[in-house]
Amino acid sequence: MPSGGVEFSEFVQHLFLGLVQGSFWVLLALGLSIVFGLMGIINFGHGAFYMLGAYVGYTVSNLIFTPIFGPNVGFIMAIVMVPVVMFGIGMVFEKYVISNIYNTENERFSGVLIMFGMSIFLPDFVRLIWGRPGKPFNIPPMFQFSLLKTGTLDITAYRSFTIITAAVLVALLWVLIYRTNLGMMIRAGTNNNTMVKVLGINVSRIWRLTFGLGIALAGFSGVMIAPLFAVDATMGELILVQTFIVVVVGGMGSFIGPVIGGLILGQLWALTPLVGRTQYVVQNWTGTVIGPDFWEKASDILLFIVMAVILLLRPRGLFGQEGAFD
Amino acid sequence: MLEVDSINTFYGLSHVLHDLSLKVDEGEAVAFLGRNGAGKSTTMKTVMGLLTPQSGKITMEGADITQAEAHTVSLAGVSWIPEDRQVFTNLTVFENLKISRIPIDGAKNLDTHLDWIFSLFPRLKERINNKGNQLSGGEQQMLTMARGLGTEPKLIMVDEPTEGLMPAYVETIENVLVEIQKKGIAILLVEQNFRMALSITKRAYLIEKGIIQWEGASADLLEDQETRMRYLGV
Amino acid sequence: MDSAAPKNRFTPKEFWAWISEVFDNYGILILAGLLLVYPFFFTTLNDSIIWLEDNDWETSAEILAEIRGFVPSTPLMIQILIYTLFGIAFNILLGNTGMLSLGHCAFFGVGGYTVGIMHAWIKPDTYAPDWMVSAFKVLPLEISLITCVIVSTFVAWLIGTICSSKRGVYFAMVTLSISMIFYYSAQTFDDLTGGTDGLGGLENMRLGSINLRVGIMDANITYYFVFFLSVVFIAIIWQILRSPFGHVLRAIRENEDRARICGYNVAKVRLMAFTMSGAISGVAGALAIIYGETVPIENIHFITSGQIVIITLFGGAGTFLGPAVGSFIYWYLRQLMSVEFVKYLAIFQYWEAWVGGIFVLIVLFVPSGILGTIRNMTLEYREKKYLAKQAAAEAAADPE
Ligand SMILES: Nc1ncnc2c1ncn2[C@@H]1O[C@H](COP(=O)(O)OP(=O)(O)OP(=O)(O)O)[C@@H](O)[C@H]1O
Ligand SMILES: [Mg+2]
Repeated sequence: MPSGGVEFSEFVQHLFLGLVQGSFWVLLALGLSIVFGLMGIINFGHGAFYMLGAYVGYTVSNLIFTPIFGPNVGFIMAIVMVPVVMFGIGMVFEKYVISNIYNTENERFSGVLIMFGMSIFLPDFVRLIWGRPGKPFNIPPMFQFSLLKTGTLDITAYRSFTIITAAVLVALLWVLIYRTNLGMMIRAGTNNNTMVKVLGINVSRIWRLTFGLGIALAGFSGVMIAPLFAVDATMGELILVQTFIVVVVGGMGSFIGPVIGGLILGQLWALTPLVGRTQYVVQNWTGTVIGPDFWEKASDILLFIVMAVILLLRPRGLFGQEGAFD
Repeated sequence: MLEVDSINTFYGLSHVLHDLSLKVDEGEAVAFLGRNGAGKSTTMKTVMGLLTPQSGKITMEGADITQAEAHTVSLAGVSWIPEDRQVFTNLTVFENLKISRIPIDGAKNLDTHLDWIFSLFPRLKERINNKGNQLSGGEQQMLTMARGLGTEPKLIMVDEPTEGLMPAYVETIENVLVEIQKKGIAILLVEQNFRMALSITKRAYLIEKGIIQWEGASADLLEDQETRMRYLGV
Repeated sequence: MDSAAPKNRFTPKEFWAWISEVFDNYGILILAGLLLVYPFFFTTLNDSIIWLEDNDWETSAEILAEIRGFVPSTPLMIQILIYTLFGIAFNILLGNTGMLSLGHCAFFGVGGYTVGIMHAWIKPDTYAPDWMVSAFKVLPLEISLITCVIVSTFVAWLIGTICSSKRGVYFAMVTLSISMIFYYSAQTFDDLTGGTDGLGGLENMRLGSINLRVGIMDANITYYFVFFLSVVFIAIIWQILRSPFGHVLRAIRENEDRARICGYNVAKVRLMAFTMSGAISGVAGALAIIYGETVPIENIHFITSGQIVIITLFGGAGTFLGPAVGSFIYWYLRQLMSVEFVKYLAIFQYWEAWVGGIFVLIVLFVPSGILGTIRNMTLEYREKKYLAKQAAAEAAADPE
């Protein structure tokens, strides 16, 4: 459609796409933020484990179950098994790698660096195991229809499914953190780790579980997003940075921060390309009209600009606690 | 019950506890007095497993807890009420009390425990849904003690419980200390208010620069002004 | 007691202590000396192989050529030099101020792109003013290098301003995120930057009248150009770190609150250190593209930040020359793996997996790096020796 206006249905379509993208950011940012709150480690490998989750999902679905039971069962098995496998991987990794740095000098830097090392290691490792080209991962047949389709509006079943799943997961996470004993221990540990120990609670077990939970969330997001894009060794890079942006904008140290941050940024990201198509004309300093092409490309960069502005004006983020993590 | 046998504790290179030994018997109340910086809190942290002594031995009911981690020490029946309170500020009073019951019974029979706690600290019941950071200093102190009682300790180490509190609260704390003794819980009490400490305990240790200088009956120390003057300055 | 020990016994610890002492005092000079003559050495090696071939000493020539595969070539040394400069600039932050920046790829990349874009797009006959056209046939490197310093200083200052409210690991996260804006911009505005293919066509790089084009034949010219600039900037950093300003940096690393109480404007000092580090990293980035003739987009990707962290940590973040050692080992190993080892085992082509894996192992097992570990060993040794001496003196004074 040429410039001069945006159809309502197109607008809704973009809102919908923004919601899909935002849901994934919320899931990833929550995992990142919970682990950081408790252990003080920013998981720079979050994107890499997300990518690994997609590959594990590919293996479970396309290589193991689809040939026997068909793609629907394959997909269901993938989304059931990936979180379990990734949870295990996370716990093992915490036990044999991360736990070695506790109580050493500069333990937080070491934690960050180890996870950063993983974000370099895993993509190439995945290429070694699964080969260099990416892998196809189709939307399972049971989701290959649209809930609503008029003009440019196309609410596809799979995308709706991801939104609902994400919403359910966020709700479950909230219950876990605020309504269970484990969650209470996690929150207490975030506040004062020593006293949790002193009360007779084996903190290292809680850390291990929490780290595993973060990795499981990352892996699950990876396999959920796989049918929307192809599975590829570099798929974790951009989303890692985007997750960081969500966390910075939403603010660490609160549950609501990453959720609201992810949803807002998702909308911003999805609606930006529409700007070039409105009747409003934006000019640059030489008076040249900034065309639709620019706005199509500007989404990704706009996120960074939002982050920079937030950092300058409100360093703790929209919902972050004062002085909590600076 | 608790036996500390000539431990040496360091902060990095600085040697804080020198061959320190003390013991607390079952159900016994012991005062542990000394000037600022003498090493009282360090002793408690070492017992609790938050610091590791370079030599010496700590046993609780015969079990060696010298190298044990804090949660093991806690499960062995030692509770610690730190001097700077350290309530979980992001948890409600209820959650602060509940969390200490998780290792005991998964916080299942919470009600009977809370009845006892609220009989000791009625004030906490009124503030049950407030977050830790919404409490006054006195309330925080009470909450810390209440939380420390949740782990069903055989020995409770209390570090300066009345510091900076108004007299009414001091009285509450004193009553509670007497009350928990009646329950058969042993107490190791660090306190600047030596009169209060000595009147509710049976034995006392005096520590100076990480060395135990005197030990004996609390009643004797209450009489012996010279010794007090030498090691406490009062 | 100590003096009574036989002088000629040279224990391994004593040997390391001696090495480390020499390295502490003369390390820079020794390294600079070795690097200064390196191209002669490599050229001689090349020439001997050719000479042997010409004189029908086929086997000897083959053996020597085989050996040459394990000797770092001059172009590889250029790379090592560049990353030494980059690493030492980066270490102003990590080793001295205690700031972990994971966004240094931004400066490295921006430095490279500034020079690259200027050379690719500014042809004196199209954009430049007339005086420039008459003075130079092509854009001289001096101008683009100076521009690069200005631009990377500005970018570093800007990023520093945005990120400096953060501390510790949060700072690492924010710098990484901000740095990636440049990566995605480079990818997005590909008509300017060449996008994912990188920016090519930079053959015409002249320093005054000297052509810096790199073929195997004239690598030496580029080598000395890079060598000269690196030495100048490393010397500048050396001076800065020895100056009172350097002491303030280390005070901040040790205890930020105490430094603040002592009256230092910590935020400002941190920003200055960050800006300096970023500006010099930009120069390193510019040198890298002169050597490579293209600006690969990887230069601005966070893998580059990772590389420089690895190089610095591996050599020893607490030491001045650590990054030099790290850079040498990193690039030499990388070259060996991707050219020699890979002939025998295909697994060596997965270079990043190796880097990442080795990186994790370094953090776990040699956190103070090679030079740092050697230094700690010798310090320990000296302390023990000192204590033994004291004990001996006491024993002598006290005959009982
Ligand atoms: N974290 C630490 N690092 C280094 N030294 C410490 C540390 N904590 C305490 N110290 C030192 O150890 C010594 C004993 O301290 P400790 O806190 O045990 O004293 P205290 O008897 O509890 O005194 P107070 O009555 O002030 O609480 C003091 O000299 C103190 O300076
Ligand atoms: Mg104390």
